Amino acid sequence: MQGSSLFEKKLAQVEQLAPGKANLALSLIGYPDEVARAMAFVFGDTIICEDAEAANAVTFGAKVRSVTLNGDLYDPSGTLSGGAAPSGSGTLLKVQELLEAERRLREAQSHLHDLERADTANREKRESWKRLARELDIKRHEVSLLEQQTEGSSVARVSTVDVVF
Amino acid sequence: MPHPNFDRTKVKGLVANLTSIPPQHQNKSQALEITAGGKLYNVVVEDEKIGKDLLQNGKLKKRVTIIPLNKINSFAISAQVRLLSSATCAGILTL
Repeated sequence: MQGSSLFEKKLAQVEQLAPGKANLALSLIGYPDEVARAMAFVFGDTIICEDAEAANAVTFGAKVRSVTLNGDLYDPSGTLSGGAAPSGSGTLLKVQELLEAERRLREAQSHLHDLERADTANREKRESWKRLARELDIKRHEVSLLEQQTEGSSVARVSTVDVVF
Repeated sequence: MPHPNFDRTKVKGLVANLTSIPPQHQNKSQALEITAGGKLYNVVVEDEKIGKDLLQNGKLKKRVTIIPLNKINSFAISAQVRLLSSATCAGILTL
């Protein structure tokens, strides 16, 4: 990213001020690669801190915006905001559910697609099996008819006997 | 749709919908929400032309802020500008 060396210095400073307790917001989330620049714009200038002391140290030590897990915001200009959660919070958790649901939907759809493809592939086999089964029935019937026809004649009886012995 | 052959794939969506939080960081969702603030509902689009189309012909019912990926300045620059603003201004003035 352009001109990030200065910010990297700050990140190193942040790591020193609150070791293991501070993370760049951008590094905690996942996003499609193509929107990386937008996500850097939204999440790239703020540090998420485990507790208030860390946020305090980070914001006023390294002069970067930081937010605690409780949602208190420490701005290097000196303002602190917090207290109750803003109205309509919990959006991101809802979004996570949505993403999960969408993922399952995609999975189910691809499964359905696979099944449909397998179904069309099998249809031919099923139809040829049906046709063959029908033909077999017809042949069996012919055989039984022929047997009935020949039953009465002694020639047949003799020849059957011949065959048996 | 601003016009009939509008390319919907160039509109990437709300920042909120593009953000996925891995399970081990779900406890930080509130902090991340505060971090993004109003930007959570910004609309990410591919370029400023799409943004212009949306604003002018999109018949949007609410006021929206659009982030065109090709024009947006990421954090590093804004952070730098804030820090160096006095120095830069001095430079411009002497020019």
